[in-house]
Amino acid sequence: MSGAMSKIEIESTSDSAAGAIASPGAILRSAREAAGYSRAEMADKLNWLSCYVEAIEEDRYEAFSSRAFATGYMKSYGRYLKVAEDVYLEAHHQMLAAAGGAVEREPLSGVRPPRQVVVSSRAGLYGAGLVLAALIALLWWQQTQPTPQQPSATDSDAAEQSATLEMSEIVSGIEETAAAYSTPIATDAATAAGQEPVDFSDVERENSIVDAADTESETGLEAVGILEFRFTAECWLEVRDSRGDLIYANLRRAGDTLTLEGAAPFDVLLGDASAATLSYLGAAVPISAVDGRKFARLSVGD
Amino acid sequence: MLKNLRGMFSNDLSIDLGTANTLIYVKDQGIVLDEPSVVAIRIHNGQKTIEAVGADAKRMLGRTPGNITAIRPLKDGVIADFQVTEKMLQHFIAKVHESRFIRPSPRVLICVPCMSTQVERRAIRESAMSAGAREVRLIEEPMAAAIGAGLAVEDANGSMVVDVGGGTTELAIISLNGVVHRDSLRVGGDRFDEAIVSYVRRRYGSLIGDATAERIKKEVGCALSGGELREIDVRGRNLAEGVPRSFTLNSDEILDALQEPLSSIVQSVKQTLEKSPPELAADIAESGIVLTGGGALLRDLDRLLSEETGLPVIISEDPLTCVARGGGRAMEMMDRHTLELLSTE
Repeated sequence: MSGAMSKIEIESTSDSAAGAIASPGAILRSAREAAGYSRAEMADKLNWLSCYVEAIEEDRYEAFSSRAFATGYMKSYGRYLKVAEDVYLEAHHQMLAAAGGAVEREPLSGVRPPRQVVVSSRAGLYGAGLVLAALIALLWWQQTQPTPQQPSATDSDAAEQSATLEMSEIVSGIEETAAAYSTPIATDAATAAGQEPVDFSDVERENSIVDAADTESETGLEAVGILEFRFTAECWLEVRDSRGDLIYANLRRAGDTLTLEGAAPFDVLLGDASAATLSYLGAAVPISAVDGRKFARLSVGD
Repeated sequence: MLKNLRGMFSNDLSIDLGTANTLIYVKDQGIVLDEPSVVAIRIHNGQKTIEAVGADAKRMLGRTPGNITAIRPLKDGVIADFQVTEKMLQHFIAKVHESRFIRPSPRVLICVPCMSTQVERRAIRESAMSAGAREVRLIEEPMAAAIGAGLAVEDANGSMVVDVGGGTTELAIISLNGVVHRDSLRVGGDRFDEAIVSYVRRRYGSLIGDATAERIKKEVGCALSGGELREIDVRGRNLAEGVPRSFTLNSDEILDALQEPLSSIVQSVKQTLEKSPPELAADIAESGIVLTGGGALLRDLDRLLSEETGLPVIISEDPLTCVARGGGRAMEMMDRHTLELLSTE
């Protein structure tokens, strides 16, 4: 039994076997017989238990503890008999497939490139840019929103305060009308129309009924006061009402007059104490600077 | 937190960080990277920059000018150059995710030699973390190899795995998801190459490079005499004359050259079998030893071990990728909490 001769014989045998889709066991058995070995001799040469030789030749793979061993034994057997591997492995896979799709997962042959993503990297880059821009816009919008402390009460309060400030400035032009009223509450509508104080209070009462949300802040327990400022030079002004809310904060110039209305008492900060005069409900309020400094801080309407 | 966010755009990876080759397995995709663990570094004005990594760098081995150094950052299965390993891993992880525009931050499982020290394991872990991994798990190579080979590691049945890698040969007896006995010897494909280089130097008075030695091993190398005789033409620099000379090597000569490393492997396998508990030894005697790793492709290594031990020896399916595939499956099993007893660090 020369090695070269047996190889040729086996190849011819296996070719014909493959054409007839022989089982891998049959291919290997015919190769063994062609080589002139008995099963016991094969088991001895491969150091196997003889039952495994039988199992391989009779295609009984359940005799092995795992599928890996079955395939490994089959390959060792074929390699020893110099049978081309693809011949019996192909038959093996076909047999397993015919047996009901119990094919073990194919080993990965070679290296596959990583799966490509659908979106091209350029489109992805643009997408990422857009998302980033949206995030920046969102952050900027959040930054520009007023802090929750400043308009602490309610939105309606804030709107009313700003409206009051604007209207008060207009009123300052015709302040003698406002000064004529003895009641602390005065609106521009009332002053412009020159209505009687009694009528005005009626209107106010009507408002208080209609706008329930505003009632507490306007006609509540807090006293309403009017502050009048006159400026003779440039001066920074900050006014807070009794709740600590900032009513006004701005720089005023020489010659400006300003009337503010809100819940007394007020905390007033003047940047230049000598540049402003203040009257509260028509009465002048003395302004004195903090010791050795230019600014003044005072509480009005206590 | 940013790493977690980036992790949503990353794949879980199983990395076989080998001395010779690095393989990466991606869940649901298979092996996506198989590159030599080689890095080429350019030194310019004292600044080191990475010139090439992987196959490109391997082509440069032994062929570099003075300002470029091609190095293998792993030696004997463990990190020899921490920074270069980190860069190499970074490159490979990015290559696997190259179609992504967000920097990847994957969960990574790395296979380590079973007898590696705590310091060596920590170096591997930190290297992977620095390369961008958000979570690093380690698994012993023989366990990953057994899982990759398709052995029933969870059964109460002993299986013996011999993983002949580039730098080390790992031996383990596995049962019930754990390693019962392990051994590791610093003999592998690299030692085979070195043995061929020194044989050629001694026998022919010529010097050949590692790449040529590797080619000789793959083409005509064998572990057992009496097989088919193969020959290869080789060119090397003659040490006496100083000029390149051509000569022919055959497989018997290579077998002679490989005797020493092969006998160490055989000796180690025998020692492991001696130390195995009797019940598991009986299981192994019945089912056999499984060979994995690139070294398993050395012709007739299975027959050598079979003749020396008197046991059946089989080669696993696709032995080169066995460890990486096993690592990938181990990670899936860990995620399903079916592998809690797995010996990981």
